[in-house]
This record gives sequence, C-alpha cells and structure tokens, in this order.
Amino acid sequence: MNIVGEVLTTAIPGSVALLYPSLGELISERSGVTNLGTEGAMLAGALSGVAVTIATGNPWLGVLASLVAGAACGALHAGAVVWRRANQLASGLVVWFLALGVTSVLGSPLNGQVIDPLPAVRIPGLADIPGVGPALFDQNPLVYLAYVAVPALWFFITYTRPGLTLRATGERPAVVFASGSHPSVIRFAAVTVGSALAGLGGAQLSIGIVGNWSDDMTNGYGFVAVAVVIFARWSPIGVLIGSYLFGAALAVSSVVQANGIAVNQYLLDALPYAITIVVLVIVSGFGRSNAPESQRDALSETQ
Amino acid sequence: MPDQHHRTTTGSPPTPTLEVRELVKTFGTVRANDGISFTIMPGEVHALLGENGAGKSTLVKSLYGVHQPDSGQILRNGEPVTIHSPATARELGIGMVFQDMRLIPALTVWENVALHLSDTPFALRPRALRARITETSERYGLATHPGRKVEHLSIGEWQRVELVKVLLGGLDMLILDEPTSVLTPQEVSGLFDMVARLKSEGVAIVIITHKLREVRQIADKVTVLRGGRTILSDAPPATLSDDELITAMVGEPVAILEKRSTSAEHATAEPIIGLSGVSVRRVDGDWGLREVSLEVLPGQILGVAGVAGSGQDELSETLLGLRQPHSGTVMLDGAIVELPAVARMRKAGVIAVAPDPIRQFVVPGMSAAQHAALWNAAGSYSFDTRKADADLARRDAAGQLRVVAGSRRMDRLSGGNVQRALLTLALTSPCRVLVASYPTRGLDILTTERTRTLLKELCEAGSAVVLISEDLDELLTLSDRIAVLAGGRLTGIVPAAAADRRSIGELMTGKEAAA
Ligand SMILES: Nc1ncnc2c1ncn2[C@@H]1O[C@H](COP(=O)(O)OP(=O)(O)OP(=O)(O)O)[C@@H](O)[C@H]1O
Ligand SMILES: [Mg+2]
Repeated sequence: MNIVGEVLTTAIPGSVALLYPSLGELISERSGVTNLGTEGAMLAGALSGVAVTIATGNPWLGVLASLVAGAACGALHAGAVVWRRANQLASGLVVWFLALGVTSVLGSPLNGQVIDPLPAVRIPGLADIPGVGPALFDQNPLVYLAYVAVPALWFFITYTRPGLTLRATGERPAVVFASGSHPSVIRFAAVTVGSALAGLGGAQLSIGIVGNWSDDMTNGYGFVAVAVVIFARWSPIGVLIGSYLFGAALAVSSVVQANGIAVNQYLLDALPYAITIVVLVIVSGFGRSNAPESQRDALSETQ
Repeated sequence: MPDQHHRTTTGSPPTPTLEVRELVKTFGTVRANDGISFTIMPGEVHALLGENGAGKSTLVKSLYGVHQPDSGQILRNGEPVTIHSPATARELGIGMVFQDMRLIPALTVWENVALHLSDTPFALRPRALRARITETSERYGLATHPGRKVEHLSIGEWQRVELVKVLLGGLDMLILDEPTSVLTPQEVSGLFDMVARLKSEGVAIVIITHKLREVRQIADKVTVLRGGRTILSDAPPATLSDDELITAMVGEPVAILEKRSTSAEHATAEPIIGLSGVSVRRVDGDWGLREVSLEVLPGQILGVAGVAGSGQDELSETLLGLRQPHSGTVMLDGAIVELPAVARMRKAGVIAVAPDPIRQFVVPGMSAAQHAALWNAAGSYSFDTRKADADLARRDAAGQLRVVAGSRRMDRLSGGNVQRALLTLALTSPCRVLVASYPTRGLDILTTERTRTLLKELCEAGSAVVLISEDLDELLTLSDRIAVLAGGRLTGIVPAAAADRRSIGELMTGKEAAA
C-alpha cells in the first residue's frame, strides 16, 4: 500500500468519529440550541457501546446502546434548556462533567477488556480501486453510513418540511409558533437526535476503531465538533470538510509517530486540533454564513 | 385562494362572519381590552380606529389566537368558538398580517410561505409552490419574487409577501394591522385594490389604521376603541364627520397644524452640513445615492420625498456619518469630513430618529428608563437608570407625547408607544441637526400633531431639521424646501411654498426639475 493509502486508512475512521457529533451539533444549533454536552454524549456512547457488546457479544446491540445513551444525555440538556430555560452553556458543561464522572466510575471494571471491533465490510469492485480503494471501501458499516449521512442531512434541512421548520426555529421561534408548530418540541427533538449522533460518534471510537474502553477516551472530539460547526458556518458540506481534514491531520501525526520521527509528543498530539482550527478559520472567511439568528449573538441564551 | 364559508341566504339577514361580545384581555394590571363588542359581516371592510395603546392590536391578536381572552365571546358564522392558537384561527378561515411583520429574513420567500401553509408536503416542492405564489400574486396584483431572500426585500414587498402567504392559506376573513403605515401612497392604492378584490369575493376585512383619509376611502363600517373600550361600534363612516371620529378616538377635538409660513430669510445662513456630488453604494452593490448635492441650513426644515428605497436611508446614514461615500465630499461647518465619522457628527450635534425603531432602537428586555439612560450615556461613561427615569419624565412634560412609565419593558410596548418614546428622547434633546426618518409613522392623530408641532418649534429655535417622510401632506405642511429623490438621484429641490402634491409626485417618478 502506498503512503496516501496508508494515511487515508487511518484518517477515514477517525474523521467519521468526528463527523457524527458534528452533524449532531449542527442539527441542534440549527434549532437554536448549542450543546456543549456533546463531549459527554460521546463518552456515554463509547462506554455503553463497549459494555453492551461485552454483555451480549453483539457489537450492533452496542451501537444501538450508544445511540440511546447519547440521546439520554441530549434529553437531559434539552430538558434543562428548553423546558426549564437554563443557560445553554452552563447546562452543556454540566452534562459533560456528569458524563465524565459517571463513565469513569461505571467504566473502571471494563478498563483493559478488549472486544472485537465492528468488522470491516469490503465493497467488491470499489475496494479494488488502486491506492484509495481499500481506505474508502474496506471499512466498517458506520463509515459507510457516514458517507450517506451528509447528503441526507443536507437534503433534509434544505428540501423537507420538518427541515425547514427546524431552520426556522433557530431563526425566529415566534414565527414557527404562529405557523402552528411548537418550537419547544422541535428543539427538544433536535437536541436529542443530535446527541444520539454524538453517541454514535463515541461508538465509532470505542467499538469501531480501538475495541476497548478507557477513561476520557474521546479526547475533546465533542468540543472540536462544536468548533467545526461554527467555523463550517452551520453548513453540512463545511462540516464534512472540517471533519475529514481533522481526521487527515490526526492520521499524518500518527504516521509521523509510527515512523519514529523525533518530534515533541505533546506538540504532535495538539497538531490536528491546531491545523483544523486554523484552516477552518481561514476558510470561514469566504462565502455566506448560515448562522441561525439565535446563534448570532455569541452563543448566548435563546428566548 | 379564499374559499367562501359564508352563505348568502335570501330573505333573512346574512350571518355575521364574526361577532365579538364583551371581550376582556388584561396583561397584569394593564386592561388592554376592557369589554369590546363589534360585528363583521361578509364582504365588509371594517376599520378599527383608536389611539396608540388603545388595544387594537391586542384585540385582533385575540381573534387570531395569539392571545387568549380572559372573558367574553367570539362567534364565528353564528357559532361560539374558542381560538386556541393561530393554527386554529387558520382552520377557521381567518388570516392576519401582523403590525410587526412575521417573516424570517434568512429564508427565501417561498420557504416562508411553505412554513406557513398547512398543506406543505414532507418533501418540499419548490417549483410547484413558486408557481402557486406567482399565480396568487398576479391574481391580486401583488408583485413578488418567490426565489428572493426576504432580507433583501423592500418593506412594501415584504408586506406583499405576507399577504400572498396569508391568501394562499385560504380565508374568508382577513385582519390587517396597520398595513398602510409603512407604505408609499402608490403601494397603499395597490393594497386597496387588493382589498376591493377580496371584498367582491365575499371576504370580510378588518383593517387598523390611523388615517381618516383611508377610512373614508375603503371602510364600510368603523369601530373606535379608547382605553380598551368600544366608544363606537359598527358605525357607517359616511354618517360621521372627521371631528366626530377624532373626538371618539381622543376624547376631545384636536387642532390640525396649519401650514408653516416659510420664508427665505435663512437662505443666506452658513450651511451646517453640505453634500456635494455624494454617491453611496448599497451593500448589494447597487447605487444608494448618486451624485447628490444639498445643504442643510439652520432654522430650516428640509423635507425629503421619494418612494421607499429611493436613497432616503443612505442619505440619513450619510448625514449621521455612518456611511463612507463612494465619491463626493461632505462638509461640516465649512470643513471637509472624512466619513465614517459617527462620533464627530454626534459631537457636532447631529441626532436621529431612526427609520425602523423596533430594530434600530429597541433593546429587548430593557425598560424605557434604561433606553433613556442609554440615550443620555452616548459619548460619556455614566449610565444611571434612576436619573434617566426622572429625565424621561421631565422630557415627557416638555414634549407632551405621553410616553409610557419608565419601568415598562420596551419590547412589550405597542408599535406607536415605541415611536413615542424615541421621539420624546430625540425631540427634546438639544441638537443642531435632527435627521428624522418617518417620525409620525404609526402614530395616532393627537401624537402626530404634537410631533409636528415639536419639529416646528425645534426649527424655530434655530436647529436644522431633515424630515424624511412618505406623507406628502406632512412634507408640504412642515418643510421650507423639499428635496425629491428618485432611484438615488436628486431630481429636484423645490421651495415648499411653490410645491403641491402633483409636482412632487412627478419628481418622485424621476422626471428632473426644469430649472
Ligand atoms: N404582551 C404584552 N404584555 C404586556 N402589555 C402588553 C402586551 N401587549 C400589549 N400590551 C399593552 O396593552 C395595551 C394595548 O396595546 P396594543 O398593542 O393593543 O395597542 P394598539 O392599539 O395596537 O396601539 P398602536 O396603535 O400603538 O399599535 C398597551 O398599553 C400595551 O403596552
Ligand atoms: Mg398596534
């Protein structure tokens, strides 16, 4: 395998682990709610995925569990923000801390237990494309689902009625109410579904890539997701670019590490984050912003 | 398309489209509606009159399900109904265009319409919907661009979109809350054509307005509110004189301001601000102002006429120092200033009445007194709400515009009350130049007259006033000179004494003055 293929093979699964929470955050923010609890939802998803896989021996039940765990974290945040009018930033951080604490307590017996990761499914024909074929088309099904997720979400928010209502809720909830829908219900649903996707991102890390659980294993992916959404200007295509860029940077730094090139370890670990942010800041200067009106004032409370 | 729910039975009198009995709605201690009764028949245009804060908007919002009345009855085609929400109102065939219009600026016209319609399919069909919008637009003479983003529309088109949206929903009763206050005379006549068309289709129309001229023009019945009570119900306007209507609204007769006797004696005074050959580009790249030259003289009212979007906003922003002109020079007291120079203009005593107070003046969540404190704090470090509250009361005593208590939240005030608060602050501040955009928009008759008197007094005290308005009578009554804008060009500056509605109207269409 060539070097591009080698980098891509590591890059793609990592990118997907960021893509899911970013898409989730996008849905949530388009409805007008910032969810800093995304990191927490990923942790919950990662742990419950591993736990259920160990208990049942079926990694797909693990994936299902991670969706549920993520959704639960989202429902907690949405409940506080939408029904109780809590501050979005404070509530999100509380959800993250809560998830961090709870997963490290509940997860400690599982530390070090190894499971079989989700099996790769080779797509005949496409996987034989020289160079990039195996990297793109010999991956686990969560990766393939991610390929479909971006255009599907784009179509959903641009060309469907619920998608339109979702966007409108982030802009002017009063207008949505006058049109006969309930902004609170829409926000609750958006945050919960978004957070379930974050849980799926956690599953991709724990059962999709490494095949075990370790404390705080999400490494800030959830927060990067929030940043990706903002710099991608709330557009699914931008989120796609941001996520794959991050994955590529991550892969490059691990290839560098694997080849024993002497660079400061911490610097190397920080590199993907730095590259992603810098590129996104530069790119976000072009084109138009889709920032929902309720997000325009520096992520303050809505309503 | 309006479907006819009503039946016209021969013999017995037709059932009223809507009947309201003893409706009461309170907000805390404010009794906004205090026992209101009136009746609307099919095919009738019913005008609702009343001062600012009389409770007109509250009443129609109760009819559209935005508010739940505390007590009273609403009968729809003779049946008692409870209107829980706007969705219920729409099922009942009631449509409404709000005073503060309800469209989402970031979405396109067709997306806004799709959001509103209950028969929008899961997968949106833009092409079909746009065709429907175009068809209804043409049918009622409401020109719209279905693919445009709402934020790029003029206020007139914005309103036409609201109308199309509501009409597409299907209705036999339409409520219009102050539709004409933001429109140019041409647009008003377009709107009235549409009203006549709906009326002939049997639709009942409730229209709120402050202008008696409009009541005389289209209303079949009028109901007058004062302090939340019905003073007059279902009266035919032809049987009432202007004085009787005004007395019903205000409680006393109101003297209408006489035309100012203008003179050219100040013409020799040094101009405070002078523009020469100023061109300004709009954000969308079009020209906002093209080669405009004019002088703002002390002790004079310079009227600015033009159809909406002819460059009025760009002119006021240039005078206030907010805009950087593309070319041309701006002089302040004889010296050239490089714009933008907001602080410098303000220091020189240039202040403004914003064209869109709800967006440019109101800070949601803040009280009237806090707005006064913000106004006073401009350019200094102090911010004292208590002092500002006393100051607001003092200004109100001087201005007599009957501003609300300082503790009231600005974003919960009626449209006219917001304007009154802004005018009280602007018209009682010491200034050398006042740039007033549409100062009497949305005001009731008494407050309109007070505002005009204050403008006149300000000018007599030696200040320069730039009066941007779409009300030609107002311009002709108050101005010394009238500058006319058409498509960003200055088509003429005429002395008000020598001008009339027709000659100004001609300049507004873009014909240059002969001289
Ligand atoms: N949501 C609200 N909360 C509290 N008070 C309100 C609210 N809405 C209206 N009011 C008060 O009720 C009274 C009637 O207001 P309303 O908006 O009905 O007046 P209006 O007749 O429409 O006046 P305008 O001509 O200025 O539009 C006012 O004193 C207003 O401040
Ligand atoms: Mg009103």
